Amino acid sequence: MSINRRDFLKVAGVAAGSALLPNLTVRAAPAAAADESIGMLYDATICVGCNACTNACRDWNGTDPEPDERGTYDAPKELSADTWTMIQLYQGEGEYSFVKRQCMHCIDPACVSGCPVQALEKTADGPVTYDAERCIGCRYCMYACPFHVPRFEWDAVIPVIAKCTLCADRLSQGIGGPNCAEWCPTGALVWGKRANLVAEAESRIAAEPDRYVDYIYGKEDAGGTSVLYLSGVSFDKIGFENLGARPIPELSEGTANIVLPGIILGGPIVLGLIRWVAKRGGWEESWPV
Amino acid sequence: MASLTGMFRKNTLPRSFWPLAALTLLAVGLSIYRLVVGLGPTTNMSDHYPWGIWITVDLFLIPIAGAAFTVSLISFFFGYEDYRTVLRPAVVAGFLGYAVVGILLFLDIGRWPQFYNIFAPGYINLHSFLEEISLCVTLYVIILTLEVLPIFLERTKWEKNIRWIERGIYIVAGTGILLSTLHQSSLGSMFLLMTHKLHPLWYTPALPVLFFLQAGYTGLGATAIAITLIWRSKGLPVNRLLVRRIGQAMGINLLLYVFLKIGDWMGAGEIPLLLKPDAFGWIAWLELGIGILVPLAILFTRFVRHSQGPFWAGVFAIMGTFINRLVITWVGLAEPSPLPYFPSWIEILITVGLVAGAFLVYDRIIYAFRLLPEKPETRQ
Amino acid sequence: MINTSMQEAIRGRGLSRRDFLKFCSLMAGVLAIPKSYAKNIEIAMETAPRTPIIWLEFQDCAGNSEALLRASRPTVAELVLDVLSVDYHETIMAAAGNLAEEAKDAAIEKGGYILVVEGSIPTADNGVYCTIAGRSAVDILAHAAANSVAVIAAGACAAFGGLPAASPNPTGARSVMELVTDKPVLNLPGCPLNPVNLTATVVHFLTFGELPAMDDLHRPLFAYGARIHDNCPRRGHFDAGEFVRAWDDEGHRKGWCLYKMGCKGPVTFHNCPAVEYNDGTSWPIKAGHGCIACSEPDFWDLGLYNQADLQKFAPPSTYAPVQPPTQHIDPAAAGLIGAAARLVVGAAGAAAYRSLTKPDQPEGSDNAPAEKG
Repeated sequence: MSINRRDFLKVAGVAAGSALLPNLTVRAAPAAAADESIGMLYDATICVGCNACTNACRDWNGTDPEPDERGTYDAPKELSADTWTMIQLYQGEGEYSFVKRQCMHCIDPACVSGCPVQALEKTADGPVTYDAERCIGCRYCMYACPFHVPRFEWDAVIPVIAKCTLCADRLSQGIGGPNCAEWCPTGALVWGKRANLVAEAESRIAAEPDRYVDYIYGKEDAGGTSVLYLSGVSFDKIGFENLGARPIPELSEGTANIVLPGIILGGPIVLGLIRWVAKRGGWEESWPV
Repeated sequence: MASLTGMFRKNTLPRSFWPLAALTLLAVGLSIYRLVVGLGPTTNMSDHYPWGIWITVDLFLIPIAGAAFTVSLISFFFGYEDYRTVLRPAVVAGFLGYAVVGILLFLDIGRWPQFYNIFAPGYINLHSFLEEISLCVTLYVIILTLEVLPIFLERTKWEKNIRWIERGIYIVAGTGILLSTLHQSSLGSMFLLMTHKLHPLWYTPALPVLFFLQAGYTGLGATAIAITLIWRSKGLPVNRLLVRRIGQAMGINLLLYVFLKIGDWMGAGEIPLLLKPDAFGWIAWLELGIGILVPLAILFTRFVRHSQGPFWAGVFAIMGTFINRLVITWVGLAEPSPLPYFPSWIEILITVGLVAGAFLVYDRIIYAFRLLPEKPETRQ
Repeated sequence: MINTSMQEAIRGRGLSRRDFLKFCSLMAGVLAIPKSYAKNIEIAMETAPRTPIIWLEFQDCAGNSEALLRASRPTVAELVLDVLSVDYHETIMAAAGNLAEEAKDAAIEKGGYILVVEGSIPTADNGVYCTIAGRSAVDILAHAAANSVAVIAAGACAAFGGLPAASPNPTGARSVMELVTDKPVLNLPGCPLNPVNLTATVVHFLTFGELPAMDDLHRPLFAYGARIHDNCPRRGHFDAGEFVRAWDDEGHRKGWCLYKMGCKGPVTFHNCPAVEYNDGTSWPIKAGHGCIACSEPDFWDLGLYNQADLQKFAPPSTYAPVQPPTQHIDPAAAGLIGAAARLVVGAAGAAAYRSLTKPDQPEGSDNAPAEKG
């Protein structure tokens, strides 16, 4: 196929179609500011799967454990309203890897872009925070998130959206970093300025190229995330899709920027034009059959 | 002309009244139950399928209720005066459709006691298409109310108070059309954020345009169906020319839609996905066949001149739209879940009951108010 | 004394038959063999002649001997020492000097004994760092091993070199299995070894006539087949991520996992959690200190408070798997919807076909040109 989708839409001459396509250069990349904000680096090759992070998260945020069938261990199967971070395991042929799940705190988050009432916010500190006072519970953020992170309190009468906050309260009060990173016994999870974390990740890969996949997930993925990942197995195996380097909301917000003024300003003109043509000669009926 | 008081007199009620009323009452009860106990115990929605059948039905009803918008566009702006005959049934149907959507959305949002945050000035996020839809739909319901008011208030003492609506009908209708254009396309734009979740056969940057065109032909199809049925039920002969004109407008819309859709598939190199023998390949063919090719086959052959032609084209187009919305809001979204979603009986009963209620109210409005001319009008 | 059976020796100590049977089933338990084998053990113990033992000590602290002997009540260990004929043991025998050496040489001449070695053997500088009666430890070991039926290396030093072999190992200390290659060598590492395991090994030898099954480090699997971590009473805290982060912090007082304080439980094979020390009184992790991996080679060089490197061990399957996102269609729902769709589409298709192929009724008020459908 020699033409791509964009070309087709242009060539098709569907005026609305071309107008709806965003001008991708309009949006400024906020990555530079994010480099100075707080982030986390998770190194899957150091993680021993001890779940100290899960427990530290429960401690600080007061969430309830999710016991296994026998009620012995706290064994969450995936993120939930009560489990904001957890360890999953990838087991393949002769290789395995733990992988910590939590909010990636995108630099340009789709959830924030999608939330109709600005209940989600990317703060200057780095975290993506949630405000239940604003939230109406529409759950658009859950669909918008490319990492399947926000969760809903399904059993509550008036539920809230639950997800990792990067311990925004600890950061803003100066108590310390994210509790999970503070408690990680092996140093698989560290926190700090995102720029420093990127440098650290790069130096780890440079020092032991055999240990790592030569890729820092989150450095540029989906426009960059505040939580960065290093892994010894390829990232698609531990559940990280190739999302491309453009921020997820780019297309949507670009469309919004054009559609709203376009229809509000251009709409009356088009309607007037249609009316004018109709009055002049009308639209003659000519049907093939 | 039946009187308002006769609306609920026993001998004027259709046979279907009591079953529909029972379903509606049940839905009202279950809705209250849902609001009291929350979403978890009443629905099968989960963290992986946060939107259930209610959203699917919303996204299906909105293009159908778009009948009001397409008919006003054609009658007021394209200058086809004869469409005004069906303007009233279409606007009332649109109003009821949006009412059902509104109730379902209210039931769907988790933190319903603070739903008004959607309109709170400091909270509005204009980058969110969901917010845009919410605002547009609300404003559009107000516009529809203005368009509907004359129907209910004519021949009453308030009639002169609403003259200004009739006088400014072009502004009212024009605003309604713009709001519809905005939110019908925004329904598609809403899925632009789901780049990596929606199945590639359905995801495209052209979603807003596709949704807009789809609303056009689905609304027209619904209009064709509605007027055929209404005239029939009233024992009036069908205005065949008018129905055919609706069918033709629908045909143009469908052609644009299929051109854009197939062109988009080709442009994105997704044709191989169509030929893959998996569920989604089949569904895409089913949608294309039922929703587009069959209506086109009716509208662009001699069948369009048959008094039933546009009616059946509308039926198939609406089925196609339903498949389309089903995939986009439900099965086409990728989730890391071993448990696929299927609606609970409460979700289904509330949906069915609310739609039944809308039919009920529509039937009574047709009975009590002057929705259609006493005699079918002829083209001047 | 050599031909006296155990039964007689037991009676001589004033133990009841009940105590004896309890001992037999305890041994079956430690050896992880079915309880029904207690009968075999009983028979073997009653009938087998007392096996002679030669116990050599080289670079050691006598800790293993102490562990065996320092018991508060007549223990299984004491019992075995009594029923075994310990012909030579520098710490406990009455004889000294030439007399002792003669006793040893006589026993070696006779053969058929089990050789127990405690302590590592220095090999640097021709073995001058440990000599007894003018002979180097290397010579003594070679001499004593020659006529033995089996060699048991008791304790970490004899098994893997232990403290004397810790970096930089100035005496060139070697383990028994490095020096004795022509006899079956069984290692019972530990600092000290757990006497129950030595007893059980001997009982196994007496009952089945052979040494128990061993791993590649010559450790009997019955005692060293599972990690401390696998049976640790604090394991629940590890799994829950509850770690002691400083001595005497809240977690320490609550008895949380000691991994972060350097506990080597996850990399150490031993049965401490099951048998404990000092007749089942306690053991390090129970007492609040992490495991130091005393039954693993070169454990002194691991760093007492460094965290164990867990990466070489395969993870348990209790973790939730990674689930890549896909479009799911529930087969049941798909079947249901598919059937409904077929019905609706089929009915609509049939109805549409019928009504569209039927000639249209001309309708009076319709002013459109009449058409035939």
